[in-house]
Amino acid sequence: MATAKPHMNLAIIGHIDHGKSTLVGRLLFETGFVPKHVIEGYKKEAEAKGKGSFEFAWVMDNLKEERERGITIDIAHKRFDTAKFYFTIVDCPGHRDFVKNMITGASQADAAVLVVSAAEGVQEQTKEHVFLARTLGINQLIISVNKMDMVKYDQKRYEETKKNVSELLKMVAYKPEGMLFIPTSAFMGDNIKDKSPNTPWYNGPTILEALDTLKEPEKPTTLPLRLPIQDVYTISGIGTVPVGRVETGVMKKGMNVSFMPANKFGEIKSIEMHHEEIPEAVPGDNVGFNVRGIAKNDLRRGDVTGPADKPPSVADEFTAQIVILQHPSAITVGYTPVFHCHTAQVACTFTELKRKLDPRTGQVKEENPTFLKTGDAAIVVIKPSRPLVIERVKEIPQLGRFAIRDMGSTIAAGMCIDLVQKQLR
Amino acid sequence: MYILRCPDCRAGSHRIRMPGMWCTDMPLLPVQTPECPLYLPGLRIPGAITMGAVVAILRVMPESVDVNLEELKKAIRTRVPSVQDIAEEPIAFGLKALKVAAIVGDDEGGTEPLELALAAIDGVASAETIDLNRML
Repeated sequence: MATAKPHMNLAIIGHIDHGKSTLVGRLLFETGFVPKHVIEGYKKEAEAKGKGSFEFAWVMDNLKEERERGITIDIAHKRFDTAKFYFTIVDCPGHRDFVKNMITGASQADAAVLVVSAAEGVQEQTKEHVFLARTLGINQLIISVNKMDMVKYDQKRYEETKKNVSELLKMVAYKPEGMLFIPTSAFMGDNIKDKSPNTPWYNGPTILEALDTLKEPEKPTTLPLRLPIQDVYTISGIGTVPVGRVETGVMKKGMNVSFMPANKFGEIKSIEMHHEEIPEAVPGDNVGFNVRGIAKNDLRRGDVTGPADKPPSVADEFTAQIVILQHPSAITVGYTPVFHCHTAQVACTFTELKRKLDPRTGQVKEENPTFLKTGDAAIVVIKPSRPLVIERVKEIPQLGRFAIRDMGSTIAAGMCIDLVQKQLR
Repeated sequence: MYILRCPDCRAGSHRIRMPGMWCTDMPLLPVQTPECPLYLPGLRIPGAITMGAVVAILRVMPESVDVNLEELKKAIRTRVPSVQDIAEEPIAFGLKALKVAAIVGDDEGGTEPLELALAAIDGVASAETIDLNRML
């Protein structure tokens, strides 16, 4: 379905079982984006039994049954439209193992709905997700104070939950005053599309109205071009074709580009997307481009394309702010796990633990700590084992974030706050 | 251990309130053994529900334009049984990628094992997760 509406990636975050799935189902249902055959199936059954209107519970059950029937790419991709936007849902699994995907691109979100149960209030994963959303640079947040039906639509419970969530948000330097807190029951459908008669004390917008108050993410076209290379091909009759997604800036035909850390330079002869030639590629575009003056073996996955006069930064070492998500013991100087940053995977060594921070306030808790453990936030110095392109998060945030993995799990997330450029010859 | 079962959720004749559990107008019966898959529409047991299945969509890049994509699809389906759907995606200059939808289980340690399994297949240059969603 083609649409001219601006696109947004919307993350649904919150503690397990606070109603994330139900909210997603409800959003699809209320906006008419439940897969057709599910609705058809319902109509048939409704006719047979002589029932009237749609029942949300039935639709949810049948969406669940999709799993058993097998999943197609279309079903896996969840989208819906509001009056203003075209949303793709990034329904992040709460599991820490998926943090890598949230950082390296698969699940990057422009805005998030934080789901907090009014019955249970702020829980462990609520805190974790809020912290992560902050780390990942998600600045637009809508708070669904969910399961209001379970607390009999009690305004006191709503206010209490709102107060506790606000405190949590303030801890990580969000400004809850400007955020929308909406009392909802995703299961019953209160304040999702229409104002609920069950919450006469609430005068604010519904979830769908709130979604339309979000600001369209600006495409980072004014930043210098950065395109991390996914793979490189030699195509007969064409030449060398690197493939990847534009993260920032604009790539134009005829442009002189640099590839780092390969330290190679070339000229863009043509750019194609979906097999069609395009004059320029903008952030988000997955493209292949033909480049003059470069051989396939000059480049590898993890290299980054930039303008010839503003080449990507290659770090000899960098200073980073990290948060330890899970580590079985302690992290000390000398520890060398694998850093996942854009398409690069490079082993890097912790060379200095500068400061331990209070993860809630960001205040310095300890200077030069001897070790870091799960839950700690810290400022550290990192030395890559081979040249790595990384940017200061303040300058090019898209290339400043990374995940740290070791022994098959994500142990930390972080961002580069400063770096020492490597001298390339 | 008792697990609650809902015999016919749309019958809705009586209602049992259990502490810490909640179900809208649905009769609940205690059962002795867990039935697999435990399928309880509308029932919420705080803390008892696991993460659930996650669907990842991966972009699989072939090693070159000469790789036979039909053969590659077959190889992917044989080698990675969790793959549910495969579609071709045109990239540039005649090069095509494969979009692959696969289920990632609860305790598999994220998408990495899946990426590694796909990347290890002959003719695959790389496999990268491009979309990730929980199943409803």
